[in-house]
Amino acid sequence: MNNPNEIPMTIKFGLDTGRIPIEPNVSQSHFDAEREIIFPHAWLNMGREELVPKRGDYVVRDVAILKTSVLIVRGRDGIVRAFHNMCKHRGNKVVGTGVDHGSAKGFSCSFHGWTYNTEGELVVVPDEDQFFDFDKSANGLTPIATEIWEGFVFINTAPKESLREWLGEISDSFTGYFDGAKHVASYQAEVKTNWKVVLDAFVEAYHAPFLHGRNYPDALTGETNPLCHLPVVKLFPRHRMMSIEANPNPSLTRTESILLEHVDGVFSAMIKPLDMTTLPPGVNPAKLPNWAFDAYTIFPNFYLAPMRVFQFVTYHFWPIAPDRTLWQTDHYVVPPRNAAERIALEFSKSFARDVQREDLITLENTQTMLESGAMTHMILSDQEVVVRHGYKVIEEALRSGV
Amino acid sequence: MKNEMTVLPPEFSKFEPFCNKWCLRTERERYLARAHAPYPELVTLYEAMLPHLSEIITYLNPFPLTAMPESAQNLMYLTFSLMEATHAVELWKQSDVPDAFAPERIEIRLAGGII
Repeated sequence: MNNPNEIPMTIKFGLDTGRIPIEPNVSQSHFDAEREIIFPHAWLNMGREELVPKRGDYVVRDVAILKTSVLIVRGRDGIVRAFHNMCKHRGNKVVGTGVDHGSAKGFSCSFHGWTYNTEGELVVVPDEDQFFDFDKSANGLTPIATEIWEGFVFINTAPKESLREWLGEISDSFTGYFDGAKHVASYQAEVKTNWKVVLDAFVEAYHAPFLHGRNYPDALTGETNPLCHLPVVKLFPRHRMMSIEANPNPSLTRTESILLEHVDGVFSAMIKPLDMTTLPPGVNPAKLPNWAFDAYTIFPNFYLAPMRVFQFVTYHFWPIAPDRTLWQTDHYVVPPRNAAERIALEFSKSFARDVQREDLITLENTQTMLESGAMTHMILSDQEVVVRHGYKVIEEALRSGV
Repeated sequence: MKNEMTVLPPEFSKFEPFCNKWCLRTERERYLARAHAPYPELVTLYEAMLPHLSEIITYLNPFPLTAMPESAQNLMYLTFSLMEATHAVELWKQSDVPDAFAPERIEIRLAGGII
């Protein structure tokens, strides 16, 4: 430890300091347990309400960990609902494969023409008289509980509590922060790793000066914090967050220097002027003057990062198999007002995209070696306390339910 | 989506030789073009255009993002490609990030135009 008088965060939070088993990241039985015990009862984020801005707009998402296809639609009444994308007749998908979004007055099953409206009610059954004791009104699309928090759409196939209860302290900490942002980028990839291996890389900053050293020579480190120690960590019963600081005097590339004559910030050098007094309590909770971003992990698989330069970034880590994950990241910004801001945005998002490609290849290499069986445990430092908390929450959920 | 007829504003006509390869409308096209370009081509693009980045921005700034003349849009797309190239030249000294996840494996779902 740098300062022998300082109590390590891991101890302060009452966490064990031992090694962490690798088995949860490689075993089919652990994956099956997560699928059966955690995900059906978890509030899962599906993106922003703006996915379906107008009445009749819909999106379809295959959610492997729920073994279902989810249809999210804004009804004629303006309410956003989620359903299993399944015809009540014999189970076919009502929105067929190959279509993942659109706008519709209703959904007609291609198999036998059963038709549902945008609120999920069954409205047309061809040759209805041929069915026995049949009540159309009792055979709408199978709903999935849907709640919205600060513009984010969450679903839950078997809720035990409301979304607000699920989010706990976090739910009142961001009022209005996410409004008005423009969705400017969405990247996804199927990565050959366990979902927790991907998530873990985004909840510690220890790797930044090493893996990302050539992309971030000193923007996140600098003289005062050369190893990118975490200034703030908060652990919630299920969720967790950390704040990351920027170097207030980073070395700038030629391009950064030119862009910064025209705009007030670029993603690669997080030094944009910012009025801290306008931030809600959840954003930069310690109001660090050199704040770069916060990384909130909303249990189990949603990652929400308010940022100094971008308004916020989200990640979703969708488990597919013990060794496969759908990784998705979305960037949201204050809408660019002119060409300078738009060009700087292109610089920033292409930079962020390519930095993440350094993470993804490393994580696939990691998964390959975890599966070799040559080691049974990983070793975590105090700076990886957020990673450690993640495993604790999962193991507790598997023992006592979500 | 290469546009053989690409024309830039007259002040920037000296960059027209780059247009055939680099005036690309989507991020995915620009990103893959950069990742697979021979590195010297990226250096040539960078050295020709970066010294004029401020002039380009100053020229484009007055146009509303939703209503740009076509020549200005073309210049904007070309400048977006320049932004891709800057990372290669300034950070990696090669066309793509060293030891990274294969570029084709990233799906870009929001490829956006000018705004």
